[in-house]
Amino acid sequence: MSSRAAAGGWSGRLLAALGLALLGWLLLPLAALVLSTSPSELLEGLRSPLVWPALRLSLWTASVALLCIVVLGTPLAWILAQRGGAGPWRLAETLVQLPVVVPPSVAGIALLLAFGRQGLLGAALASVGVSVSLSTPAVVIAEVFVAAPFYVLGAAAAFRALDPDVVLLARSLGAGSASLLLRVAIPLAAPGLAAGAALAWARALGEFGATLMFAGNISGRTQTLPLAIYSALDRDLGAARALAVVLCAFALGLLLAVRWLQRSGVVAGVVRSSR
Amino acid sequence: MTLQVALQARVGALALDVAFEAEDAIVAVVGPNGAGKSSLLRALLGGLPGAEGRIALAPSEGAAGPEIWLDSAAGIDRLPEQRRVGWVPQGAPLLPGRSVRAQLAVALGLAGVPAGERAARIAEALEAFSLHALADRAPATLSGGERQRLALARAFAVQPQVLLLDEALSAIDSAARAEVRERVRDAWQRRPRPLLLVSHDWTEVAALASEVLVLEGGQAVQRGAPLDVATAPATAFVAALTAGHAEAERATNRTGRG
Amino acid sequence: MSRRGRWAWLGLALLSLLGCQRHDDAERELTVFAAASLREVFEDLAAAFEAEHPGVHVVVHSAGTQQLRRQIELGAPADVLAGASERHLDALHAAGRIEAPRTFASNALVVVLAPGSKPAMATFSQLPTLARLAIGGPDVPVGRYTRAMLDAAAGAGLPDDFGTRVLARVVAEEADVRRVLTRVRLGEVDAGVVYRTDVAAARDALPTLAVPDALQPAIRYPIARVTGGSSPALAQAFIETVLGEPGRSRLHRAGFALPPEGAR
Repeated sequence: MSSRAAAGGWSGRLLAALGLALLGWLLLPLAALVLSTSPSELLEGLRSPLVWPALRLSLWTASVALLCIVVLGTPLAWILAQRGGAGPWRLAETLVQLPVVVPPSVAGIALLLAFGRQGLLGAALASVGVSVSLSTPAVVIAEVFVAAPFYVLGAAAAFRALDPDVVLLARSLGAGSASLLLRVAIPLAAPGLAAGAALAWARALGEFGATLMFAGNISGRTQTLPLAIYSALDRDLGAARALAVVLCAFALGLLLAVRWLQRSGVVAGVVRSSR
Repeated sequence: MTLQVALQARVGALALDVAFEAEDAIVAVVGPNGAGKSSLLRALLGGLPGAEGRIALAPSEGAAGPEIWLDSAAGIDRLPEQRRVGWVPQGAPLLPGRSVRAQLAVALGLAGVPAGERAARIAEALEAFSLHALADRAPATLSGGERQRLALARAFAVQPQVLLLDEALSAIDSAARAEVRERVRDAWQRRPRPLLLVSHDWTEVAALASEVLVLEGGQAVQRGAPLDVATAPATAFVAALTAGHAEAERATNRTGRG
Repeated sequence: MSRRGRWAWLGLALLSLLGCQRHDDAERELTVFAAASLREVFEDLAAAFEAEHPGVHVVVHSAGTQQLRRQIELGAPADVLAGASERHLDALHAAGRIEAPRTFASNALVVVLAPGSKPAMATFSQLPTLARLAIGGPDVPVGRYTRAMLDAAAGAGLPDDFGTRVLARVVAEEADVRRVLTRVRLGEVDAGVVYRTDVAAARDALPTLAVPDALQPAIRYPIARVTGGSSPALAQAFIETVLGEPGRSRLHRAGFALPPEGAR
């Protein structure tokens, strides 16, 4: 945009007004959440019996989900970055993004149909006595489903940003596929990977719809923070608000961490040769 | 060892078509921008898609057969990690590693050098390129010239079969360049092997190379000793590159340098 | 995008905004909040009411009673509230949010079993032997009644730890009774505790187990006008319909028990 269009005239002011309107639209609800909860109300709400089991379960399941996502998602991101431009991997890259655009309720039904007791894999699992739906593993499965794309896409972008000459250099030194990934690509792309992981963790912490449908809502077992907020809304509005503030703070902290990682990535991580 | 090359490749609009052999010697590759010098090095590395022809590395004593790197007729195309080439790319990109020393350790690790040998090799490499003072510096704080010395040290430290240096001394300021040139020559003389040196600096070519290969438009247009090339330039580019050097070198030779 | 395309989009956006404005037709629209278990009966009643009151549109919003209560507390626009719990409606009445509730029906609990499950469990006393159960959450009326039922078990000849063992099998606590039924229907759980009428309302005949009479809690459905509703006269007329013959016959057909005529 030219600076003249931004600076002067009624059209410039209109654009600014529209932009500010959306900004207010986005920030007002969050501001209301924080402003409507005094510190004493926050502490009071945090004493609700719903809070600590949900907080513990959320942190635990989101971390296990993140571990699964990183262990399985890093190789996928690497393959996509290396060959995502063509053929079946190009399709794969598009499909990986599906969970981002699919509504949570669709994810919930899909997970039930896949892993539920009557589901595609569920029947086989049930025959060996394993039921994943309505259990803590179900929470993790739902979180991986919705959060993995954020890591995979972020990691693939970080890998793509690596100087291709560094990759060829490492190979010429003798690095095979595994050590190329583990000893060169991952350390160099680390800030980008960490930013993707932080986003995925945040998404996993915030996962609600699919968890409610697929994992249930049992305190200490399947009731994560967002589900606890949903339940507390019927029972104890103070606790719901306190939990919401806590989640909001988590999200803000993660966002700042991501920003910081992305900025430091420019300096330390992805050093492109100056040509 | 002898590097045998007969190579064809399309790189954008350029048709690369080169054949040459390089024994345990430093061969300078010169030519205007876009002549295919860097692409030639990439093809030797195994990093140029669509390269065709034959690349082989034959041992000096004819005991064993040649090591075939590329033979498109026979469907052979060794991966870069199986060719053991020491490459100093333009810009001397960095590997992971928080210090110069760590960078060298990572390179030796990738090359499969046993952990017990690495310390000695690192010390040797630091010594060879006067990097001792920089050993604990963060790589991001190095100047362009320092980075190139690190890249040279890295390439020599892994003791590759073939060395490919792409404008490897260009970022080193002219005062230090003569010194680094000597370091390269010393390191090479310790273990002579085919070394291709892409350069735009005839002083560097004349000081290091025993042969020159002139590439223009993807083709080899002249080949010979630096002095002969400078004396009888085949093209206007060579003439411009070597202008003034032939006389100077004759003079140097007369005053007794080997 | 072409210039004309841009104007078309703007027009569409404005139209959709206007669409939001269209239901403030004061005496013409009646919003009825009904407990989840009342959904079919009240939709049927709403249709009958609309037929008798031309030009009136009745919107039935059904959810767990605890959710309806919260929505009214937060100011949701409703004219009539029919719930599955006297507790929630009494609390709303005490807070002045609704007028005095009147009881119009009652119900009973039943254990519903997953489709195709072999009735290996023949009696209610074997409930704790099932692997996975679904019940209502603690604030959901059906969940509260279920817990009352389990509390009564020890005094009615069942083992002292009957309730504890059953609760240990619970893998899903749902926000309304219909979601409990859905868990059972999907086979995600082996059994759930719902109202008798829910099983009757479902088209698929799921196997059930009777809950012993001694354990049945008192499940009464109150109805009341919401204070400050936009259509008080229509709301009163609707409540009379529910309490009168149209409501009684439909509730009876759906399996609800009815209070004696004229009570409360």
